[in-house]
Amino acid sequence: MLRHCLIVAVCAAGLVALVACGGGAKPQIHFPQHQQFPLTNWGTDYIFGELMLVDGCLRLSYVDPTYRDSTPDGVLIVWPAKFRLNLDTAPSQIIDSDGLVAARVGDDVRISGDWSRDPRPAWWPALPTRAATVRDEAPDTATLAKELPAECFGPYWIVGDEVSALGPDEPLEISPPDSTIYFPRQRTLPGAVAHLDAETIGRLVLDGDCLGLQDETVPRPYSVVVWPPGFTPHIERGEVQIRNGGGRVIARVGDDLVLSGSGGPGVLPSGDGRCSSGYVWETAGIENTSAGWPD
Amino acid sequence: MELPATVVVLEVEQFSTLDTDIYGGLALTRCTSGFAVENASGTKGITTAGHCYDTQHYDGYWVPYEDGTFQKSHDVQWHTVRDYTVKNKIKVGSGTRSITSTKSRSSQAVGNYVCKYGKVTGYTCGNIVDKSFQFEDNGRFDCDDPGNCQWKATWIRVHNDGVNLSEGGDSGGPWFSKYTAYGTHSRSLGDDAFYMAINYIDALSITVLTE
Repeated sequence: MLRHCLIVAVCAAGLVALVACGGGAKPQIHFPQHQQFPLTNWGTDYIFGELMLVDGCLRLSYVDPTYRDSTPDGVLIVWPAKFRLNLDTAPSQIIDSDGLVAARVGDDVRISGDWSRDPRPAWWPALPTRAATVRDEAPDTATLAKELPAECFGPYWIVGDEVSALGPDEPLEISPPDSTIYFPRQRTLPGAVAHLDAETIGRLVLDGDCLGLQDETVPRPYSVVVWPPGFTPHIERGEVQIRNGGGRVIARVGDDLVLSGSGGPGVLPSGDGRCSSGYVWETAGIENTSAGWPD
Repeated sequence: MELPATVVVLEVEQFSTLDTDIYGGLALTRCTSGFAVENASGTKGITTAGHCYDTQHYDGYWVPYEDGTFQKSHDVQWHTVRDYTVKNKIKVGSGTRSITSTKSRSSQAVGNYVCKYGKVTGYTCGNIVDKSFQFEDNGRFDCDDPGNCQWKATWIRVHNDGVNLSEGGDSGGPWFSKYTAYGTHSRSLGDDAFYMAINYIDALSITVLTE
């Protein structure tokens, strides 16, 4: 799960310091950015919370119950290099690489990506451990922390391929345009979300309107798949695609997949009785093992 | 009967036998086995996580589902085995280790160093950083009674700096220290892992084999 993130704090460009513009000085807002190719969300690689401005630092509300005292102000967000902050509106806006408004301060936002090395900042108390604890192997965090003021302390979240503002009524069942394909998906949960570690292995099939995974060990034709938060179905040139919240294609009908999560006998409570194969799989992470897919 | 002259007859004391033992840490079809257990009537079997498919196989052989629970403080199911001998062992790397005792959640402590074996990430270890973690309810599809599906603050979290402790497929695998059973694997959060304390298998009226 942990990926090494090469973070380059582009503080010269990313530190937005708006000064007098025909009036008093505006507050300095720090907007740290990274230059790595945004990580793909394969299902579990996201956090969700309110985008906040705290002491000039953009944070996402986030509480880890284990480290509650250490995350009072959530996590500091490190944005992609081509994003920018628009302070000319109220509330301020996050503008994505296409020039579109990705989120506003105060929005509830789902952001994919990964922790910078570890959700625990280096100043958290050392754990009693027999294993070697090496704290200087995170130049990414160290570099970033050095460039940012003390108020913008970690832990840091490195933004991946999705920044989505969510309304109060996140749709949990959707269909592609001009299609009746049934696509149930999970609710986005705030805070420290742990993911179940069973697995199912098989081929993604479309049976009528139903997307399912054919696992030869399951005594049913397929398990109806409940997809991760933000995932969407698309039909392109007759091909049914599953994309993550950032729009990247994660799987296609006919692909061989390994899905982590949990499953068993059951019927989804909604869906008008469609797709009642009798088995349901709630997906956490996705690994696509079909030829031609990157690791 | 007379054999052709080209046939050579070799005499052996006995035919070779398959490794017919089953225990914790082995690869089931879609999860990992936990510990050897038995019920009050002496029927033996193996555990895995309750959120795994009920239908599991080991080495191509079906292991019949007996009972399971996945709610509150619990995430465990158990299976009997037909063609295998249940042993109080767990897989540890390329070898095995006997399990001779259990430690309940109340006797486990933050800071304890514990290890697990899972079929995907293998042998990993870390420190207990929380023994009262409570999961968020995600509105589970299989929950008939929402009040009955709230997770309790009894889950044990393990952390080791820079070490990914678990992945999908490891569920059900044993958590232990030396020869003592601590729990069975359930979830991941980043690189951290969560397990159910071993005493909660009581809900299935089974006990861990320690001899």
